[in-house]
Amino acid sequence: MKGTYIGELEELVLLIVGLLYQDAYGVSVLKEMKDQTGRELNISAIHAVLNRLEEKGLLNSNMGGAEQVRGGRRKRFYTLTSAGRAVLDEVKSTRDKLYGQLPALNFSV
Amino acid sequence: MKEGQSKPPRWADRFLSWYCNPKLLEQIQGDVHELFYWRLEEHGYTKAKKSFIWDVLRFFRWSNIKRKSSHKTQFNNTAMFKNYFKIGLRNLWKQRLPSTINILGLSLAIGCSVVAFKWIESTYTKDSFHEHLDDLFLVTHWEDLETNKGRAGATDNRLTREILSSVAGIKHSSRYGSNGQLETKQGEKLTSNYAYFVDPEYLKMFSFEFIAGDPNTLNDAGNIIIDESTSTRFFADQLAVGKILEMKIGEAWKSFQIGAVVKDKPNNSSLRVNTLINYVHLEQLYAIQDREWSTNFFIQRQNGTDRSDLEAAMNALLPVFNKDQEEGSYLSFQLEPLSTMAINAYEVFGGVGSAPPTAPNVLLASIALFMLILATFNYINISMAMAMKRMKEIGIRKVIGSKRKQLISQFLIENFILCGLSMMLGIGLAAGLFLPWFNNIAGGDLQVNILGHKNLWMFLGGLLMFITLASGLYPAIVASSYKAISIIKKERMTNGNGLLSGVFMTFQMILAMITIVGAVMFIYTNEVNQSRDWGYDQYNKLTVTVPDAKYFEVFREALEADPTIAKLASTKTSIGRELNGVPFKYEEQLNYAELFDVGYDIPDLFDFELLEGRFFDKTLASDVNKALVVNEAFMNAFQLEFTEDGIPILMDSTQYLIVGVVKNYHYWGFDQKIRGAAMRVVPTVEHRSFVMEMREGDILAQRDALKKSLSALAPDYEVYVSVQEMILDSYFEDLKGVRNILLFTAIMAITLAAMGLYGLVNINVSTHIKDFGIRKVLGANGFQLAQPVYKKFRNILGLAVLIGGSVAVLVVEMLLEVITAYSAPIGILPISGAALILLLVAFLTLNIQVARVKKLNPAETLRMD
Repeated sequence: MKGTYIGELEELVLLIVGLLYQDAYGVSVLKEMKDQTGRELNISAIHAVLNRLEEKGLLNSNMGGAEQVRGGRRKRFYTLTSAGRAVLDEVKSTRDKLYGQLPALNFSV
Repeated sequence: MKEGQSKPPRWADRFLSWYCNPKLLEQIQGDVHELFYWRLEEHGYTKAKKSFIWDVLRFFRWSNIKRKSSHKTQFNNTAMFKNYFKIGLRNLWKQRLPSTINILGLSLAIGCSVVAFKWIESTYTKDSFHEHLDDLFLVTHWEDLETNKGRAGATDNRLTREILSSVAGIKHSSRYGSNGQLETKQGEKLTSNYAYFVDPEYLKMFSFEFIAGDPNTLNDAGNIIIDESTSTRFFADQLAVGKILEMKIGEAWKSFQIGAVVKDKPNNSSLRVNTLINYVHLEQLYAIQDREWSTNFFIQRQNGTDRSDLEAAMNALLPVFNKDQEEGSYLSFQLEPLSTMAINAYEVFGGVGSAPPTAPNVLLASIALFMLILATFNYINISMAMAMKRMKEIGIRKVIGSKRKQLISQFLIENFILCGLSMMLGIGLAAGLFLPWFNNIAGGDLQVNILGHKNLWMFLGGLLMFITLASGLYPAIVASSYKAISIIKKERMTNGNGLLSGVFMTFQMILAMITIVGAVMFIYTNEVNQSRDWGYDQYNKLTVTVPDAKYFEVFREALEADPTIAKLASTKTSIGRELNGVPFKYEEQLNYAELFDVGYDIPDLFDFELLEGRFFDKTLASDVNKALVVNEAFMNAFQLEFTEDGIPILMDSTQYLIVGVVKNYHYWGFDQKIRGAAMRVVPTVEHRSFVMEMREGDILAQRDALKKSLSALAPDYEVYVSVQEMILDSYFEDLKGVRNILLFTAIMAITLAAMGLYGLVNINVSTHIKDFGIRKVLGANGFQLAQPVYKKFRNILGLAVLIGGSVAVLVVEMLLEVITAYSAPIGILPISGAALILLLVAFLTLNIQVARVKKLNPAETLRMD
């Protein structure tokens, strides 16, 4: 199924949405991404990824949280769905498994 | 910091609002704004502005621009429409009476339109049943002759042979000619019978249905093909194939064997069958007469041959042909497709078929249109009123969030259901009732076969759409236009609705009035015409036609000896049965007039009223072929004054003398104005019939007795004796059809108007039922209760009678002029009669509702409040 495989950026965004918990929307994801990974992405890229993840059923969204600084406009908050969480778990376990099989580095040539 | 520098650049912001899907705009715009202010603090205005612009440009991608997002705005349309249907049906059921009125009215109108459509279509799609329709052509040509400048439908016979031998691409061909009625003998029985001469390929080209026999039978020149009704006429139920018929072609009797029997030609066929004989017999006849002739010539092209190529190849023959001819001036050939042959028949001289009749088509189309207008108006009125009762539903739907478009589509769907039901009922009515009845009148064989009739499908589909929109759009738009708040606050709905329904109702009543006046006038005119003075004494007269010259003297002796005959006269022309228009010339004036060749005693026997001069004189031999007795119209046409010496006048370069003038007499039906008519005496040897004045007695019995005694004298022939006073019977019989149609229209129109009125009053009373309840409680009597009901419709009816009456005079006069040349003037009587009928129907309709109000128990209606 298409939704079960996700790209690296998607994985990062998914993780960030997960860790931001109830405060994940475009700008907060962007800032968190910059703070935590040092990656500076354009906001439109974040939106595109969020939309795609929602389409895949890994995220849910709802509108809310109007602020003065936004000119009274609401944000679209994203939350992790259980499918999203499962995908993250799977990705991690795959990585761990593969990582565990790396041969130990031998410096005693 | 400048004031403008604390805000994102306006143009970029506007650009974003412009391109972005409104559904996504809020979150996107919010995010970029938030980012802008964040960057403003972190990096300053210039950086923030640049980033903002960059962000806006980066968002400019299709997924943010497209207005329909597939996963976010998926409406469940089927469920919605299902719901509309359900509500529609429930509403129909809840408002049974008005709905029934609507459906009935519409279906009547639709039934009429279907009949009109079928009839009109059939006149425009003549000859469409042939299998090879697309490849069949009549050969016509343009010519420039003294006698005919224009297009001609008959081709010189020699040219047809040349065309066949030298033009490539012709698959089949057939000439088609007739020599009028042929005397036909079957055993001892002698009758006359129409026959057509064709080439053997005729039945390969044209698709007439075979009942029995060999389709190729005409290849043998001794065989013929007859149609079903001819077969029935000669052989009753017996199988005709193999039987012998003798026919007289020219002067020679020939014996034919019947090789095949085909079904009678369909009504829409221009080509006839009756009896088909091999064309060689006609060729032989003309060879004996030693003459050249032209004939209708049909060809069937080979598949894929171009029409213009054929025409060019045929035109190539003309230079040679024209050189040999003295007067042959064929300009060019034009192939007339069979499918348009009848429609174009008016411009082809000597062609085949006849163009569609205009008058009946216009009459039928306008009747159908009348009905549709009536029914649609009814519908609009009633559904407006029905919608008013549903205002609360509309209000609530609006509050919940229905858009106006949705409300309109809901109303239209309900309308569609109703129109669909009416359509089914209408088709049923047309197929089961109107069409058979119409066929009866018009002598057609129209049928509704819905399957496999593409034009009808298209017509019905179009009609359904039209009715649905015409009747439903306005009420839907008005009903959905009210503001929810005013509906729920129960504000009074004032949208000129009362005025509009009044106008519609008035219009309906006017139409009804016109049709009633039309029908009444038509019946009245017929009555007047039936008792109109014919200008001569048509009673107690019998006419017998002598079947063969050799019996003339035998018949005379027998008739002179007959005691029941008071007076006897012989003649050539039977007045009232034949017309013979010829040009007369007086000095420089040329006028056409009827010329009747009669015997000496005819004017006296028919008792024409002599105004001036004298009748023919037996003692004057000079009267024969010289003297004329003319009617007043003749004198008027030439503006002549009668003189005792007689007036000389020229006809066909022979000089005649007008010796007497008689009062105008009807020598033909009343559909034609009397024009000039002259009687001329011809010698007795030319006479072919006897006219007898009978003594008092039953004229029909006298006719039968005479027929019997004369038939005994001429055993080989059928002897016809006819009653003079009955010669117009068929004319009046024909008019009965028109009368029935007009009567039917009037009844329909008044029914529809009455139904509309009933529906309107019914709803009116229902909405004011509490009003009536309170009045009753307060002690209103029956009259006072009825008053508001009458009052509302009094003006409408008054106006309708006034306008309808005056319009009717104009319209009906025009109609009558088309149908009959002699119409009684439209007096006050038929109009007041029509008004009375209309008022009576309206009064009865109103009274049904008034009775309901009178019987009403106020407690029932007021209990709720």
